[in-house]
Amino acid sequence: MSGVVALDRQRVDAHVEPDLQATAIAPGGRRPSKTIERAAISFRGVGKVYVSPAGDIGALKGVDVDVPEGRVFGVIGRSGAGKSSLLRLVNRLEQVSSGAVVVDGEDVGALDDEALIGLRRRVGMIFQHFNLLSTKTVAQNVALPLRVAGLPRAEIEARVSETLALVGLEDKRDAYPRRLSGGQKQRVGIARALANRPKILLCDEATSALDPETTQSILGLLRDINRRLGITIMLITHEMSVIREICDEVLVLEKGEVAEAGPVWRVFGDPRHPATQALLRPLSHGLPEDVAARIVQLPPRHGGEAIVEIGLNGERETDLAALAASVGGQARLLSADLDRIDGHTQGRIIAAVRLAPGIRLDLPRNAKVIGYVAADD
Amino acid sequence: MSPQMIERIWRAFLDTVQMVGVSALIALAVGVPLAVLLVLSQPGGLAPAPRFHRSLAAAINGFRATPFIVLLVAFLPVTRLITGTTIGVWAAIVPLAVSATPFFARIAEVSLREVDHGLIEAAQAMGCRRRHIVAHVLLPEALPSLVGGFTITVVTMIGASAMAGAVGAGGLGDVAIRYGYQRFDTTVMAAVIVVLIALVCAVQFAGDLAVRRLSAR
Repeated sequence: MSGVVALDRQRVDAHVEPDLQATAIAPGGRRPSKTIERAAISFRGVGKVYVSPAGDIGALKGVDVDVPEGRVFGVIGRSGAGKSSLLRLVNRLEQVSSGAVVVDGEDVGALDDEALIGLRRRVGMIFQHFNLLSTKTVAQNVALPLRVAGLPRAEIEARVSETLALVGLEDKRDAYPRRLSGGQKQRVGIARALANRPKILLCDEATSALDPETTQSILGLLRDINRRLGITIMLITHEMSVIREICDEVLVLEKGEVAEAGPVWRVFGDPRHPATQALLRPLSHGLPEDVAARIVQLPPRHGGEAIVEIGLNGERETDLAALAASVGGQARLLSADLDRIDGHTQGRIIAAVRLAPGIRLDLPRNAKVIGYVAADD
Repeated sequence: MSPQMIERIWRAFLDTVQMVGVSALIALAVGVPLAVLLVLSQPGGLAPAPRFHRSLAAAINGFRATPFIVLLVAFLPVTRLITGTTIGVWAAIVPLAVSATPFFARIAEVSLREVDHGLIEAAQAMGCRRRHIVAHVLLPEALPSLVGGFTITVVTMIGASAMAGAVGAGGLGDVAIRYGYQRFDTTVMAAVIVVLIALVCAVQFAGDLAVRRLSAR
């Protein structure tokens, strides 16, 4: 926990300054917050249009974003936002309509068949419904990408054992997928995707068909793979919790366009686009019920409390004493939705501040009065 | 029934098995590749070729639309070219195979098309070439369904083989028509029908068993 510095009142006030790069304090994160990085995948003005007899359907429009090497990059959006299309452009399961997708220095849309096969062998992919071959055993499924790549038998054998050990399924090597649980199937999928030792792993809603506990273990495995093998992961999901759990960066897609992009803590701490706010809503608790039932918009005549919401966008560390001082002497803590992502504490705190006659509240800029509650009679 | 008649039915049974067996193998060997071509060349397939697809589909439909008895006669010159004769068991095998192949090709096409598209996509994503996808995904994944379709084809062919008597090919159907229908020998006809039912049941049973074995993995 380096760099934790107590903030004085002025700094708390400066909390919402838009100049985010001006931050002097680098909170202790998973990685240095600012390093020059290569893009593993670059989307350059990417558009995708599906031509159908009923008319053309635009799935993606002007998407310009880089997936930094070695990171876990999440794409989130409501269904139909175009996230699946975006992912499938990377290994050309879908052909780009305009713009370019550059993977590992190569323009994917322009590759000939041979080069495309080469690229696909350097980019692994896992799927929501696992897509394992039912007529092959676990080991045969994992071996398939190696067999079609023409590797010698001994090498295939070694790699299959190695990747199955990595995902913890050595004992299931001769089982057929039908006999496996969902989590085990996805582990086989991951082993199969990693068999060719790819630099990039694409995850298409990889945990959407799994129960919460299994989801956690699969996400943990993906995190582990990213850290230990340095594989860049690009995943798509419709669950903010998945992004929160393992992603370094997030891209919010809305109707085929980039709504918001950046480090997860920043987007979560200060969601600006309505789509992001809507996606984050299930993760926040909202106003406590007892307060919500009594809240009014105008200050009560005979004293009472102001309900204050204090937003922490994760940009700076927060000094509790300074925070308390900023809302005045008589404040009660009602609820807090705080989270620490990548070394940044963000979220919101709801407090009740006693109203004293003739005294105006002097709140910091990241705090706002969202209503009033009359005093109990 | 006289021992001669039993002997005759037995020989007819062997003829039927030979006719249907050989032409079924031909239908299998030709029908599966045709089905693969149909699926690969279809719009949105792995190797879309609309014109080729349409021509192949039209040719297959043409054979399927022609009644077997017409095919049997119309193909006489071809049969003579291939087998050197226009009568007997081998003369019936040619039209029977010609009739069964497009039938099975269509059934196999449906089986192949039912293979989960996600599996094909997964194979593409791992860098499989088209031939790999056919060999490792399409055919193995469709195998139980293909075997089921083949069973249907064989049973249909047993029925069609009855008409092969028209070219003197013999077989169970021929015995039933000559003795049962033309000579009013009901006993023979009944006996032949019993044998046919047993044969069809045996084929169906074997097919079902194979499908179950293949899907049990």
